[in-house]
Amino acid sequence: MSSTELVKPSSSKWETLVLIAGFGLLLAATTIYVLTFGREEQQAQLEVWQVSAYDGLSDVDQAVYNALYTAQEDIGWIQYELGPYPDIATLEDYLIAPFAKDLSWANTGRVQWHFRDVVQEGEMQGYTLYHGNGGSAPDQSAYLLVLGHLHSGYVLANHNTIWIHPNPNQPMPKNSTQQSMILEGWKNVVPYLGRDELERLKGSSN
Amino acid sequence: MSIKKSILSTAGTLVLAISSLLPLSAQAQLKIGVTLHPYYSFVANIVGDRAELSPLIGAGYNPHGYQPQAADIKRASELDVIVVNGIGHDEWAFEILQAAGREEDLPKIYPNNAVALMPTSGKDQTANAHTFLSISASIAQVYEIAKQLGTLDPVNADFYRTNARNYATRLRQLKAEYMPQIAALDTSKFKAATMHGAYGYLMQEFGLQISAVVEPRHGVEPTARQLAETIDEIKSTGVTVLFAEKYFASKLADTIEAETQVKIFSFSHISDGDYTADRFELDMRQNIEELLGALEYSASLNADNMSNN
Repeated sequence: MSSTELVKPSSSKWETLVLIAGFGLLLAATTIYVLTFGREEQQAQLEVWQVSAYDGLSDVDQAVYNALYTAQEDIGWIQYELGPYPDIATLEDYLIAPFAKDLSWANTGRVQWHFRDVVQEGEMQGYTLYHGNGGSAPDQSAYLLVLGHLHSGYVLANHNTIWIHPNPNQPMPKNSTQQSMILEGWKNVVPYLGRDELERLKGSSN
Repeated sequence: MSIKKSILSTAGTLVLAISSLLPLSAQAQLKIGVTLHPYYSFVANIVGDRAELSPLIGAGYNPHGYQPQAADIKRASELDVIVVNGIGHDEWAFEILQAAGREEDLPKIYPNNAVALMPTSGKDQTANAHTFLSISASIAQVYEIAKQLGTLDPVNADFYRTNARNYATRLRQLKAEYMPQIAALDTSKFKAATMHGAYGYLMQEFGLQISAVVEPRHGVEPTARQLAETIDEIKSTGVTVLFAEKYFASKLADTIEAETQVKIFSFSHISDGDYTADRFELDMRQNIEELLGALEYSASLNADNMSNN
């Protein structure tokens, strides 16, 4: 004779309902919490003429962009020290990517770089341009670093922008006003900086 | 108050007022705290002998998941400024600063403020905090540190800027030294996996990509299922080399090697050993040499395949 006795509840209906209700309540509370306190988007909403350097570029474009982003700082410092803006040959001599013709340059499409020094007249007046095109890597774009320096001596504080064009052979724009470049199909690349990540994580970058 | 006390009090106030007007170099050197080994090297090369450097934690500790010690709090209380990653690699530093009561008043230099971030390689798509594991991104940080230190210590700003430029040139020369050897290799079929999702910046600056990462998240070992998935990924994408961690022993690399026949190489995370001015250059040289070895191995496989066909 077995010593085990199976005891059944008089009705399992209420227990099941309570469990389902409890689970539903937990799910609703979690959803409300995530919607209220969840992580913000990593990058602010971009305009249609902008593209994120963080997740909007192909691998090769991101590599060229990141090199160009560091190079703009070098260019500013070289100009601060030497006076004139460095041309492509000078940047190659300094081994500065993406201009130096090394393995990185070869693996990122062998982009041909062109330099246009401080423009003296017309809509591009006051800008120095570094333009790269002719790259042959898959998903390659054309690139443009625009250095704004309306007042000499203030280079390090001035605003620079980097643009890309989906046509890797796109020539240097004739007009560098934002509107005309956008109409030509250039897109302004917006970096996701450590400062942005700090603000997302800690609410401040100071 | 007696006349004597009054004179002493006035003199004391005057001394304080005058000293606050003196440039920093005439008073005392900046005492700069750093959280990570690369930052020690960066700052040491920027400031030379014109500031005092103090690592926030002792050498030999793993910065991943570090637990603050009492001595760290004492060090933090004596700092004038701290250089901190702040985007996921040294969160313990903020605990130390809070415990030392310095979280609010201590000036902080975030080198990554000037760095365009990329997502971590592999499945973990959070922003990659390992910007110090590359030459180019490190140069951007060196410039940012020099700029911020120049603001805090304007008397030495030009000195810091010149040193930063010279250091950046030296770092570029280090990379350029290996370029002819690497450029001679066939890298077209190079496929690599890494244990740690830290090396995206390093690979990117050589125009290379990472095909798979073993750790599902920063510093987290994979579950058996995740490991099986990664092994499948390594096999299906034709990965031939795996970069393990030089200073963090892991049996996982051996397991993956046995399962996939990948060849193991090792990268340094630059988070071990003594804090020295040349630590970053020494470890980066080793990393580039490991990369060169992996590229040579990959190229030799290509050559074998060509000759068999």
